[in-house]
Formats: sequence, structure tokens, C-alpha cells
Amino acid sequence: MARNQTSLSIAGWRNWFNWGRRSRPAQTSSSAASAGVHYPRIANQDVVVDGNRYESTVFTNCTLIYHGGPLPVFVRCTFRQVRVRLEGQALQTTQYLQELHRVGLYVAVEKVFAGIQQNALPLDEYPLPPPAVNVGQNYGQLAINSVVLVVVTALLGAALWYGFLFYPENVALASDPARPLVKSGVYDLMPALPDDLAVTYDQWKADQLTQLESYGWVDQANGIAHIPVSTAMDILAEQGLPTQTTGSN
Amino acid sequence: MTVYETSTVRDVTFRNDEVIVDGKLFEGCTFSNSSLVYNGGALPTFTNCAFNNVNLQFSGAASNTLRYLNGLHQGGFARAVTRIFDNIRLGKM
Repeated sequence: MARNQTSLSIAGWRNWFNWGRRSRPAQTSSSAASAGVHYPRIANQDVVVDGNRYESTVFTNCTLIYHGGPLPVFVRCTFRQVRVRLEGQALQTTQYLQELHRVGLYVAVEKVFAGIQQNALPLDEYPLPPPAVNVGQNYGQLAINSVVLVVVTALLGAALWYGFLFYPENVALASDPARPLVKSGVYDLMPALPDDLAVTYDQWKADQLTQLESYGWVDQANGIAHIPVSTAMDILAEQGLPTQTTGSN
Repeated sequence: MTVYETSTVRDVTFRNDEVIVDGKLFEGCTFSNSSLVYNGGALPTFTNCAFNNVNLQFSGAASNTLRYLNGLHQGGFARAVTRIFDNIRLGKM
């Protein structure tokens, strides 16, 4: 293999891959594709990929050559028996890493390798900033949109306040007091019980028992009195049930 | 950032500096807390140099190349990229 190039064979085939989504300017290919042109199949060729865009292209038995120019774009491409080769400045970059490795900068070089393998390149330029139109650098339009958003939000808040708070309380209720939307009142569903409920109950029960076991007037004016229950049962057993005479008590 | 017009730089100590290394021959230099900036140009050479806390920076074609390798690795060509790394380690590039 010549000193100014490196080649690697890729066994088998690879599924499609996709990176460098930004559009790149056209770059002439040495033998096959040119930028922005859709090639369904490229076979048995050396393909300079710098700056080119490939969509749904099937590469078969090809060598992808990269010189360090604008990044190529591969979208839904298929690779079968594809080799990768670096030339020009791309090859020089790998040789530069080799030189650094030779002089003892192992850690720094391995850090670059790890960045590539972990998709976290320690490059000052990586990732490149997206186009200004996509990152809000149009501050005038951003300011206008912000003002519009604030105004719309304020109007919406005012509408909600008027519709749900101000109008029902100050307009609807005032115009139709006979059917107020809101009735206020205190509902005493459970009266408060006395604190000495047990004492009161015991006293009430004692009074009832005393009345059942004693003689006394219930309505003296009408001649109604109460007698002990046991006495009343004896009288009832001896004399039978009283009969009511019409027109008399 | 230090840019030398001459191709050979001898016995210079770089401290807290960014040095563009493309195409330069560094002899007996010391790099301390400095960054080596490579743009993908002609290969630099380091002879009898000392490095202390050196950072690597890439731009231009060199940056593109690393990103291309990154894309290859993430896109299903991890084995090919790993072989490139192995060749770099073994001095076979």
C-alpha cells in the first residue's frame, strides 16, 4: 500500500447510515457520484465522497475515498463489500495522530479515539452551530413573537377572569336576584350535643323509673294519676281491662 | 495563539498558548498547558520535545476527518474505524 493512502476492507454488508444532515456544496467525484444526485446503485468503483449526498444508494464492492473536505451525507444507504480509504488531508490527519502517539501523547490521542467511539468528539468546532434561521438569532422577529405571546396570554387571562368571576358575581346575580347563581346559607344539620349528655340521660332514666314505681298526679285537674306498674298489673289481673262508656270518662 | 512563519521552531517553551503546528518542525521545544492546533495541513514533526498538559485541537480538514470517522463509527463501520486506530497506534498509517 502506498504511503499516502490507507485502505480498509469491510467484510459483509452494512445497513444504511446517516450523518452530516446539513446540505453540503457539490464536489466532483473521481469516478461515480456527484453531489446531490441520486444514484440507486454504485458498484465496483472508487467513489470520492467529499461533499456528496447519497440517498437510498446501494454501494456494492466500492471504495469510499475521503480527502477531508465537506462531510458527505448518506441517507438510507446500503453497503456491501465496501472499503474505506483516507487520502490527502484526511490521511494526513491520521498521520498527525500517529506522530503525536509516537512522541508520547498517548493519552491525548486515545482521548480523541474515545471521543469518536463514544460519539463525543472533543472538537472545538463540534458540533457545528445550526443555521442562524433555526436558532433564534433573528432577534427582531423573536421580540415581536414574544410581545404577541404576552398580549394573547393577557387577553386570555382577562377573558377567563371576566367570564368566570366578574360576570357571574356582578352582572348575572345583580340582574336576577330571585334566582341567584350562588346561594349562601348555614345548614345546621347536626345540632350540637351537650357535653354532659350521659349525666342528662341517667337523670332522665332515673326520673322515668321513679315515675313507674310511685304514685302521683299526671293531670290533677282532670283526675288523671299514675300508679306503680306492679300495682297496675295486679289491678288489671283482678278486674280485667277497663271498658269505655260512651259519653263518660 | 502563536503562528510561526518559519518551518523550524527550536528550543521554544510554550506556556498557556495555542500553537498552530501545520507543517512545522519543532526541535527541543517544551509545550506546557498549551494546545496544539492542527488544520489538516502538512504534517508537523516533533523532535526532542517535552509535553506537559497538552490539549489537542482540530479545525478545517482535520476536524472534518475526525467527524467523518465519527460518522463511520456510528454508521456501522466501527470495525473499520477501530482498525484505523490500531494502525495509528502501531505506526502503520
